[in-house]
Amino acid sequence: MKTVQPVRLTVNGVEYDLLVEPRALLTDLLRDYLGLTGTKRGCETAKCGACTVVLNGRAVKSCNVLALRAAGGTVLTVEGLAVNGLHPLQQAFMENHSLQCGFCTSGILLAAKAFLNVNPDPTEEQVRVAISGNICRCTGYQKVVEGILDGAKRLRAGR
Amino acid sequence: MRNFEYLRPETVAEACSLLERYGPEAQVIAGGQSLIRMMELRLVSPKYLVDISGLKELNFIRGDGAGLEVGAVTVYHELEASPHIKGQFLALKEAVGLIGDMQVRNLGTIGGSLSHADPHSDLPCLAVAYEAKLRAQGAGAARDILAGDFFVDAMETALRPGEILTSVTFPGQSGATGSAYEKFAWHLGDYPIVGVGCVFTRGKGGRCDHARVVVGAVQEKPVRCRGAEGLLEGSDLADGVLSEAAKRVGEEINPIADPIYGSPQYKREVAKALALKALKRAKERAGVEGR
Repeated sequence: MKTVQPVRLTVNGVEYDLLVEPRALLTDLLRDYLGLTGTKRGCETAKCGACTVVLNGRAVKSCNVLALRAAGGTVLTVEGLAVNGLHPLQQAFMENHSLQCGFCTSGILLAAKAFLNVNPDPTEEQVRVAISGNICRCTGYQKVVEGILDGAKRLRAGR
Repeated sequence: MRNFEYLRPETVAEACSLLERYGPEAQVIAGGQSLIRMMELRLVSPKYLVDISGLKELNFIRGDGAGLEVGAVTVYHELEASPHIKGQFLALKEAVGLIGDMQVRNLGTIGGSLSHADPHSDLPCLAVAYEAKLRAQGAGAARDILAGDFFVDAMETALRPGEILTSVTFPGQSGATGSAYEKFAWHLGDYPIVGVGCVFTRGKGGRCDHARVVVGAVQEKPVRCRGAEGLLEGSDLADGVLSEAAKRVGEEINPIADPIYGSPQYKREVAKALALKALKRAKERAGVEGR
């Protein structure tokens, strides 16, 4: 049995060639192999969404994806959001007080970004359904939803 | 989880030959949204993992007016967004939208759900309600298995060792057909505690000539409520008939006792309520005026 297998993937625009254990989850690859610790391990049972990243344009729970499954793919983590200063969603979250402890925030930002890519002008109800896979212990979600709707408005205006 | 060798075949034939070669030491993975959790808990620890998620030949949705054919590796979000899933197949879209969350729906597949055959899942119930044909492919010739025969027990299907599900065909009914899926769970996206799927057709003369009412999640596999179906077939689908059929549903199921989610009697009551809602919505969709 091979104890490691190769995987090539692009993370936040940078291409990596890695050797990983087949049992490594995408979370393990991002945090432990690449040192990108913005992606969080919240529950390790695929229920909380704190590990959410964008894989090939779609939000996924990285703890529920094998690292090798991402071979040839593109991953966006929270570290990749701020390109020229803060991403409009990050700016909106700051101004709307959409985070307290911040532990769920990376996951929610990426879920929101991936969702808005497909649905740039959502209703509040649609936003709530879109983030139903992300649990937040602190905010009660109201300000999170407001932050996402505000971020969506900024994105539609071209920042 | 325990380590394994990860294999990514490029064709169905290659996948089947890998399963043939490695036998019980191999396990198929598609979306992995259920399997990875099981592997993390070491409930399954395959030596070889055969990833079929990249098999484009199994990723399709074809609607030709007569029916709907869906590749096994088609991801939930594609089903949700598909313009081919309309009319009599709306219950399918309804059910998929209630599975898990956005992240799960971006990876999980219809074939995975059906092959996994978790009693607390949504799609098996609908597969039985639509009398879907499930195509299995192994080293030999492909074979079709009716949904009613496919689900054998909790987490157990009629697939033989070495076989993978390649597609699911939902036959179309001719005539005004309505369908609906009602789900009871504590939170949006949770596994169902009770699920009810129904499909019926109003034939010529305004009488119902085809009805299927199925309850999922309460027993090891979906339960066809033939008594309820018998009340609907031949009827004019008046509200009174729907109420009787919904009550009958409660009598036809034998829910498993569950210390957390509810007693058998509780689940019967929930099933009756869901059945009535589903029947009423299906009736609207079949274009039957309220009476």
